[in-house]
Amino acid sequence: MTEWLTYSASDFIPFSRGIYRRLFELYNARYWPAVAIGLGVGLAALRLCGGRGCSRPGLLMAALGCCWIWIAWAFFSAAYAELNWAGPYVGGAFALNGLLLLAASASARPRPPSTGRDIGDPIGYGLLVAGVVLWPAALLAFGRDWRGLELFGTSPEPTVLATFGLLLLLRPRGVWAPALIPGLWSLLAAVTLRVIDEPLWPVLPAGAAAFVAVLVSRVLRRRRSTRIETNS
Amino acid sequence: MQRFAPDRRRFMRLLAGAGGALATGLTPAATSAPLSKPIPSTGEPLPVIGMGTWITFNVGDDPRALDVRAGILRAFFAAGGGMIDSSPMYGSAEAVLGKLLRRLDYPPTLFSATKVWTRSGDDGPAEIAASQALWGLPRMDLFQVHNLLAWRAHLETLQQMKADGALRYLGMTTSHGRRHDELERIMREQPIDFVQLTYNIANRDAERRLLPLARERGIAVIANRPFGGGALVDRAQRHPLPGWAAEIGCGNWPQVLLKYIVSHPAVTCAIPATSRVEHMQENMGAAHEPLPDAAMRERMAADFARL
Ligand SMILES: NC(=O)c1ccc[n+]([C@@H]2O[C@H](COP(=O)([O-])OP(=O)(O)OC[C@H]3O[C@@H](n4cnc5c(N)ncnc54)[C@H](OP(=O)(O)O)[C@@H]3O)[C@@H](O)[C@H]2O)c1
Repeated sequence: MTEWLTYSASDFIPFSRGIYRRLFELYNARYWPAVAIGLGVGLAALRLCGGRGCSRPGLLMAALGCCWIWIAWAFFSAAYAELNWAGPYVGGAFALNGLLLLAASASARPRPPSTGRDIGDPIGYGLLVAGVVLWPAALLAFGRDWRGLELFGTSPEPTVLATFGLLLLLRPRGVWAPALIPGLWSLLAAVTLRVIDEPLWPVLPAGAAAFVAVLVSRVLRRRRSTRIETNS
Repeated sequence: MQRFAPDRRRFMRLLAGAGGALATGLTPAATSAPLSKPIPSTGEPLPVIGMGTWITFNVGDDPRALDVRAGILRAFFAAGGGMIDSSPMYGSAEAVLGKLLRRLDYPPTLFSATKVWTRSGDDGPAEIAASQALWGLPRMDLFQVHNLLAWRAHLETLQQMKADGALRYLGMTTSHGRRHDELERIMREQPIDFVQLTYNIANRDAERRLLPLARERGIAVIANRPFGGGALVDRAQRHPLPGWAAEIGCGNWPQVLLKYIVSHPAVTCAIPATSRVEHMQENMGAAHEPLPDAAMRERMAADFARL
């Protein structure tokens, strides 16, 4: 089917940048209490994970799962669905990931003191800061009206970015499961933002790449340490 | 093919609409009735410049953006505009059109065109009914099978609707030069009133087979992507307007691009999309004499290729 080669991403993105930005203004105005709560969760996460290891890891992971479910319902299945017929399908995927995060909250744990230096912790915290603080700050810097800011907890992109961070910090068992949909969305969001000329388009794939790099480094280190243990 | 008799009442209303535009005291280009061409299957005249709605009318329920689109429609109708093309694929565009048409008290020149776009023939009737409800018109003028998707099944549904008087015309669309072979086969074998395809000064594929075939078979042609999604205007506007533009009555590049398209004898109308009132006014300015002749068209295409 060479016909597919003639399609480009712009054939599938049915809205303009101006309308996409207005979508957030209207969404924030409509749901401002939820927006405030979401941002509160993000700031609490920054505080709880600020020291050595995260306190209240299960609660944090569960709150993150609730944010995903909120975004699935209020953003993708309602606001975004007005502009894109694919909205409800993306909403379904986000809801599923919310449930996976809730399930993962049972096994979320603070950093074991014995792991020593692990680049995953600063990178995870960096991604959390990027999602909660830097994403909206960068939007402001690129001229976004403050009323149309995308904020952690209620808007998808900053939430996905911070989710990579929290998954690295909270280390739930089977960490890849609730990371698949964020990974996929990072690619789709990058394509969408690229088509509508939003300058932050490379950020999510970069965050996903950092996340994968840390997971790989952790696996390699674990293998190395088991080898050393069995050899000695 | 079942053919409608020319809709005389609509024709008279079209003239009345043009008179209405005169009364509103618009710019000279917008005050005279726009050029029309007959729809081959009925002879009904259709203004040569219509409008598309991909991206530009997908604004959801944003009140500020809705007001701008209301202004665009007003400018379109004031200039005697006819065809408005949409699709269920265009997000909220059909809902936005329906909302605004109710608000604006649309004129008789409106020629409503949308599409059926679903993989399953069985889902066609429900999608068609949903589109009709969104537009909120007593009857749609044209339903097209979007990108030839499940075209056999949808064509059957549309033919039945047309036979029942629930629809005036039916057609097929494609774009970007895709599936021209299949479209050609359909044009040869099926009783359709309209084809919609991409045709512009930089994408002239259709000139080889499809446009001559449309003339031969008496099928109306809607040219989509007249500005190549905007890229052709951007490319042209980096250069001064050529001297010959004045000879064909064009004051700007968008009008040059549109006149190139609608001056092809087989093309019935072009459907540029815009999100700006002033662009709509510019575009509608292309619906007036003089149009380029064959020699001038060649020169236009050659000069554009060199830009
Ligand atoms: N398969 C299909 O059935 C199919 C496929 C493609 C398209 N279509 C139909 O064809 C319509 C037209 O195609 P399209 O929307 O893809 O592309 P288009 O009409 O070739 O280009 C639209 C772009 O041109 C710009 N533009 C319009 N008037 C202008 C002016 N006077 N000066 C400068 N820029 C101007 C618009 O920007 P501004 O908003 O800034 O004016 C917009 O970005 C669609 O809307 C749709 O209805 C159908």
